[in-house]
Amino acid sequence: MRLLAFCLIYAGFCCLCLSMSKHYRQVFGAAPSVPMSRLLRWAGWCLLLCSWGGWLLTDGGFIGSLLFIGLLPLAGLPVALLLPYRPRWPMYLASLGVAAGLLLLPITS
Amino acid sequence: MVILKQGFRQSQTWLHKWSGLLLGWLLYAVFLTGTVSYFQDEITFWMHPERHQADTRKIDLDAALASLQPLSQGAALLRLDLPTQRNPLLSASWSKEAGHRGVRQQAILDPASGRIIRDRPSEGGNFFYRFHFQLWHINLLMGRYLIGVATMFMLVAMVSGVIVHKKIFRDFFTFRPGKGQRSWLDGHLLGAVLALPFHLMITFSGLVIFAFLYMPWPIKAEYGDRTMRFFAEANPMPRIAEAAKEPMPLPALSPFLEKARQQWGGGTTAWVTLHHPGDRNAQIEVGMNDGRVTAVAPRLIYSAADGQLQQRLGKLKPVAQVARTLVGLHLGRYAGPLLRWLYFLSGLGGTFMVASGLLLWAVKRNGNAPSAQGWRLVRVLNVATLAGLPIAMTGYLYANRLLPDGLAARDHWEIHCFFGLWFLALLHAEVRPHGRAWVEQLFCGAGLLAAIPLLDWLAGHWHWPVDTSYREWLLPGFDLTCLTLGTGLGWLGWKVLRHPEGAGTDPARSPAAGDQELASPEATL
Repeated sequence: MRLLAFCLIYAGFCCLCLSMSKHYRQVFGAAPSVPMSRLLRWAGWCLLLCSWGGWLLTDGGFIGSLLFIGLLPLAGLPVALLLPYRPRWPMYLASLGVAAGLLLLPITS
Repeated sequence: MVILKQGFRQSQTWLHKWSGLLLGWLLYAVFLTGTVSYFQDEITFWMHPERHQADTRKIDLDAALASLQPLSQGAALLRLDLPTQRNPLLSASWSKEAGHRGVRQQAILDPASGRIIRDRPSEGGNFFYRFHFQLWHINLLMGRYLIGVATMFMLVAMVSGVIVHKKIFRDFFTFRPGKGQRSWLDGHLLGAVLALPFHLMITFSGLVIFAFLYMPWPIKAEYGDRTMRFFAEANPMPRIAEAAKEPMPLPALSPFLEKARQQWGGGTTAWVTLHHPGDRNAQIEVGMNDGRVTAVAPRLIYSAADGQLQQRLGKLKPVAQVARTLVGLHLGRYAGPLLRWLYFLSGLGGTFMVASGLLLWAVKRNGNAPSAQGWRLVRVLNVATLAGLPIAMTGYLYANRLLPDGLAARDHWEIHCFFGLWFLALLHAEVRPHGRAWVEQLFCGAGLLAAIPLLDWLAGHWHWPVDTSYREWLLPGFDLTCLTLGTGLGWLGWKVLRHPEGAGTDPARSPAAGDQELASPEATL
């Protein structure tokens, strides 16, 4: 559950990042359409919210929220640092991470 | 309206720049020593090799009391701090004076056998911890005031920073490597914005801890000269009975621990304090650790004679609860391993933010500083603080292992080594060319840190963990962390070395046209 919750933050940041046209262009070479950008932004916030929910479930209200806040930079930093070197990696990693988190959910929780 | 906005942001820029510079060095030291203090217990354990062999699998309090008997004869108070995951030893302290304010003597015991461990004197992680909030070698109160001022400016710098770098949220994921100053600014902003909740929390709660020092007037107005009453009300202490001067043997302690656990409803025992041990009026105080944030342990006080629960402390008044929650958040004593590591990493992020801000200040003023001498001073101090402090801190660890065993005041000499090395770093930064000074000091710190495992291995202190328990990983974890930090510092040094101008701070190089956001915010409006 914790693995999934962490990967959800990462995926959420990826979506938020791609919802900015500057970064979308960096990854796909063209600016996103307005609905696309809006979709990504909503998806990003929803993923973050889901992750927070996950932490609340695993660690309770107080510690869960603290862990969530503490992990934000840890998930956001790799997105920002990978982007200039390997623009598509954050996206792949996020998909992989969420998939792995979901698959391993029966074992890890 | 536009003019007004410009004026406001300009004034914020001025504020951010100068508050950041003047207190940046102090803040860097506070951040770095504070960050490592999240592993204070682990550092202390590492710095006392005599404790490493202790058998920590069980606790025998009665054996401990027996071996303390000759030492603590006639003590009016005897406290036993039980082993924790992070500090797996039994610590005893006692005093001739009753109550909680007497001067105490201390001993460390092997929890299983109760044997007193005669270890070398050392401040351990406590040195970094104390330095973090009151400095060293200066008046205690003065140090706390100084750091309080710095913390307030940190808050100012943070708020004004968000205003100055108004694109901070639009540039949330922006990092442009290999562009010298631009990259540093990106790093500065990235570190600032991603961990902004942590930075705000840690700075504000840091102020709350000593709020009564910075703003004593409300307490003065309410309590007059009897300020101690304020603290007694905010954090109630148990009432201690007078000694009856009639001897009575002390009952076995373990039943009291069990009883306290049941009556409190869970948690673990943090400490046991015996008031007037061996007297008919003896009281047994049990401090509980139930993982709460406030770092105020609930206490249960029993009468030793009949085992009755006499007092039960631990419920704070609402305001005290809020204040202690903030303080507890800052101290992070409640944090388990995962959260503790997050604290540590966030702290390193804050340290990086302050450091990159200081660097930027110097880089921005390439050649057009208001005063050439002042600018040079900033650069020398930058090297000596940013690169010199890690050297001094690591040197403190080396001193712990390398100073001769019989040396008088060995613990003081460890600290002398810290300050000595720091001073040498300052001299070195002064006499060497700027770029070289950076590279040499970064590599020196990196080498020292990375060689800590080697030092342990050579001294025979290295051991492979046999399982995954925290206790087994205390020492290897310490060594591996040093190795990792050393590698990081080495990477920084390598980056600077590869940069032909040494940290991009060569005076001949003028800032690129697009890099003037800090220097002239109006250009971006």
